[in-house]
Amino acid sequence: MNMARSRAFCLLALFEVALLVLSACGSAGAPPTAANQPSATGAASQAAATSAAVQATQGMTEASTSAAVQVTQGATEAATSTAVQATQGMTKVTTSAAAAGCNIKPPAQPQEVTFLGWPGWDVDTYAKWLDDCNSVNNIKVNVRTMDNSSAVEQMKLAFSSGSASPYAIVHQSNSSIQQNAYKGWLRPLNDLIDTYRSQYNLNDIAQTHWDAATFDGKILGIPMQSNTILLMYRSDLFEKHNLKAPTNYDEISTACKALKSEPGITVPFALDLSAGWAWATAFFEAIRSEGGDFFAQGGNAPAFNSPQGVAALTKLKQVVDACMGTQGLAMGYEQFQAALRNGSVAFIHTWADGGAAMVDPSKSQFPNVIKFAPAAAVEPGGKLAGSAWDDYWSIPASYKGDPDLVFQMIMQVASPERQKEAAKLGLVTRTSVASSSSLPYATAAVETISKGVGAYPKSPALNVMETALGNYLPLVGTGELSPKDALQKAEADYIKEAKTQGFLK
Amino acid sequence: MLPVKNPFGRFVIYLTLTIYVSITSLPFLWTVLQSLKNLRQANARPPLFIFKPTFESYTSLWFRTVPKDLPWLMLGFVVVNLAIIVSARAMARRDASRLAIVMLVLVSYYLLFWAIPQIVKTADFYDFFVNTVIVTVGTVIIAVSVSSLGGYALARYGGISGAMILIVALAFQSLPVMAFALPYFQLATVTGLQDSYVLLIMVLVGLHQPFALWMLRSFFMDIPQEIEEAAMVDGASRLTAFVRILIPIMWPGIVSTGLLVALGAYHEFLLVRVLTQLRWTLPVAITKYIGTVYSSINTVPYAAAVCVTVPLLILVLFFQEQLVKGLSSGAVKG
Amino acid sequence: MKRKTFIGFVAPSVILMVALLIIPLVVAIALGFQSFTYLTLNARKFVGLENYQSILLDSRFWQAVRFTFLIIVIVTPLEMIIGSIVALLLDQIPKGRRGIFVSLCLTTYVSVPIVAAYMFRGLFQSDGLGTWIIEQVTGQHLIMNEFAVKMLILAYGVWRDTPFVIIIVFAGLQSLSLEYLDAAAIDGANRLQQIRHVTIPHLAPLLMLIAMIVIMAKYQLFDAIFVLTGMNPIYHADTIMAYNWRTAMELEQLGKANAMSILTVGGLMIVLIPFLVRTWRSQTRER
Repeated sequence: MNMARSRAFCLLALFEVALLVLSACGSAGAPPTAANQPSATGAASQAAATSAAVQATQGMTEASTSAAVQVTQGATEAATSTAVQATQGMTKVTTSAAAAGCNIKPPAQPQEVTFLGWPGWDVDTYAKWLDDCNSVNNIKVNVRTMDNSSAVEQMKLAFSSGSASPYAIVHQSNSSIQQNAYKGWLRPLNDLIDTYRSQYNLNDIAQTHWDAATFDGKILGIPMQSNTILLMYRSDLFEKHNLKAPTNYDEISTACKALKSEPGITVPFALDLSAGWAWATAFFEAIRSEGGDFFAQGGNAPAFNSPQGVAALTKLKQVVDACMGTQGLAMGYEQFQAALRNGSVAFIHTWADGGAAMVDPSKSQFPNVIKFAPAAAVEPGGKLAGSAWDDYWSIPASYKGDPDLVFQMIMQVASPERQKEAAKLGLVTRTSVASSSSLPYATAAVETISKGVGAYPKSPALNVMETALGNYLPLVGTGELSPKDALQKAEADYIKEAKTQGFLK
Repeated sequence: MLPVKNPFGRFVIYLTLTIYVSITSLPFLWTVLQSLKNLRQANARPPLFIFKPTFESYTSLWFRTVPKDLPWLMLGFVVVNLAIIVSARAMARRDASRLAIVMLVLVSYYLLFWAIPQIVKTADFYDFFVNTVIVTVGTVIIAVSVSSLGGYALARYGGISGAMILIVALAFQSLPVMAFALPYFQLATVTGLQDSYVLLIMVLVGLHQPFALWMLRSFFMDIPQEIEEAAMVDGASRLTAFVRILIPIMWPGIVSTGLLVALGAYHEFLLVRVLTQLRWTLPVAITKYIGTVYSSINTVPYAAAVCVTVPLLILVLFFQEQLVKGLSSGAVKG
Repeated sequence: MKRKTFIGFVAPSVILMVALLIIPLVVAIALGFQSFTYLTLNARKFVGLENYQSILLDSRFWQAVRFTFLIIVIVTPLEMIIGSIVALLLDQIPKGRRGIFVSLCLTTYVSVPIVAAYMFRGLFQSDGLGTWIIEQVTGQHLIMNEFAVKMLILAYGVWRDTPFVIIIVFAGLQSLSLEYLDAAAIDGANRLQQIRHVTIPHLAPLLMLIAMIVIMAKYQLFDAIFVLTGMNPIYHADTIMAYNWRTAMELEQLGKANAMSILTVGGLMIVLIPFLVRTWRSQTRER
């Protein structure tokens, strides 16, 4: 036995002891455990730790390979006993605190409930409440969030595999719910909604929200968050230049010309055109505002290559040239929202839920002068270029657990009390709560939704169309394609792909 | 190049190296700096260099509820880890293998990870960290043990079949993982192993084993055949000779190979993303912060990037010798 | 070693390789001849060579190929030159002081690619240090247009992989005996001549090898594109891998994506041939 080896053994024995002391301290020191005979727990684990230490020292003096085994055994035994005590302590405490958070009858079998979505104020808040259900016996909640397109890809992978869905609840937008709806990947919730309608007062959620989530009579998602596009602007700069909040795209371009020279402003105005899908969304709002649409009435035939489409895209291009330039084109909404808060952008067209951070002094440098207005229309007097957007929570069709339980868990988060809390952060879907919203942008948002372009069109081919548009519209922004050519190419691509996939004859 | 003697020349050499190294580490240093600011400070123009640091981004990354005695817990954690790492390093340098010690380190880590959730309420980033450790360690152990057997045999046996195996190994170690994503996905569905550690480890072993095989073969070729033959004359079987005599001699090579396999497993992004729904490892978990609203509402994404990199930094600090050896011998002898 | 023992020793490796590499590759090749999306994952249609045909006629694929080769042609020499120079300088420092430099070089190389790309991008965001420095030096705003993004991708490549070159060239330098250099110095060769006539010939095979490894790594560049362009088509900065990913994830043409991977594999094999031949020779040699 050489020196180095026994030194290593010494060290390791020491860590084990340190670990045990650490875990013992934790379980005794955690305030809730105090209720659970603190002295006994502490003493027991301390004793365990000491015994481990004794064994460890013994092992060392023997200085043979068997010592290693003994050390490990001793440590593990002691550790296990502490573990049991610690966990016991914890469960007791949490069950007592459970009542306020999650009113669900514990399931007979252990259930793992996993949520997949993308981060935002809604998911951040709701996930915390969903987490409360961890305190109910036999329920384990996991929350997984990743960026929007990654999350949508994860759903594709999980649902197409044909095996049971690992997710119990999936976050959906107006766009993703369509992809999943027509593929039959979401569970119709009609039966559950009927069962629990009165218990959770589901009539409180307005019919328009339900309609956007209904496909062939099947309700596929529970509306959790409402959203739309707003104009957010620096009122101090607008006053300085004698400008009013723009109500159409021409006024936006005019305001840009005035604000361009303002010191510190790198891009006067921005709307999200940072990727193919973002262009498709902006184009949808613009073409609807012009009176056109994506699809021809009642079918999957494309209607976007129309005079209204060309006009909408031309207006968008004008705004890009007057306001955004290449720099603005590269900015995603999260970037230009930050830019408005730190003063390098003067006004933006963006998601309403970014509004809370604008007036938060710890996040924004201009909390008092950033103001909100309804989205601008493309032409004067047209519909406002902001869609009525909802976020839904759905249950995958291939989920093999107990849908009743999952539904009730969703309802815990969507309860009126919780929605009142949530309404401080963003727009919610319960009429009773939404009507009394105190958000600074609530009026502007309500106006945009009522005078805006409405919800997304429903079509199984929407995804194909968005991809086709997303491939060419960005090239209009950079000037490589004229609006006309871009729409023509996108239309050709769409028709080809829709035929392959059987959406068009 | 012969050593430069003149002092001005030496000064220029140090200066050039320092400039290069500082440019190279700039992105990391900047990320660390940003992670210690609040959002207002992080967005400020011109950039702030002097500010009162806040660790809020780190605590909200790791904890669901921040424990009151956090500094002490952190101190304990760092001390325990440091002790384990230092002794692991001592072991990696030794001339002999000490399987028992390796097991002890693993047990220590198991206890460490197991103890933490008992003490504090951790956030999901911690779960991803544990997943990463499990997957990486599992991959290294299996890949290295399988390929040291194979590498040894290939070093001692010429001939067509050996050459075939090597050629295949070489060809596959540099193929794009994209080609395998869909077949693996189907494998997962067929076997029902979707989203399990077993699948992830299996796939990562499959991907990195050829490389380990290749490298260990070249290490074994450096060891004269007479060594194990002497043992076999004394009556030991080849396997016994391999385990008792060769592995101890080979230990440094095995450590180097293991480190590189660990890096490969830790880096994997695409496959883990395709094959897991819950058991994400850190590179996949980072998509929670990159390109989402988080990058506009707090500095947690910076903290996440730092935290994913720190384990690798520790690896570099403590196992530099072995890493360099692995990287260079992999290429020099390859 | 007896043949039987040999088989026993390599069996686990071979089984793993067959099950996890060869069979999946065969499956991938088969999938390349079929047409399917996520929805029809289990109802695939055999289409023969149609996928390959549509790839070869796809102008965006060729654009991706061009950009990938542009990266290889620009980044590889830069990396090799900077890496060799730094390695030569590193060789000049006494042993005890090398540690810190090697550590810092290694840090860049071992960091997780997608995180490294994210950290690199952080420098050039609107609030980044790099942006600010560029503004101070040039007096102009850094505008993220196609050119700037492509430059960033190239810079990222050089930044990330040069340390690898440094470390390996440095290791190669350790095996160069000082006697040769002394001899050259006595013959009156100056430093540059020493490098040219002694060091470079000594390192030549190694440099070739590094170049090959670097080229293969660049061939598969994906993470950087994913992070630095956000997959925005306006930059025309798809590499082969990025376009492959786009085909699979955005366009949902899984058969075509698979066929594209197979084409990439074929391309890589061509780069690998000299390597393979060398291996074959060394392994079939008697021992």
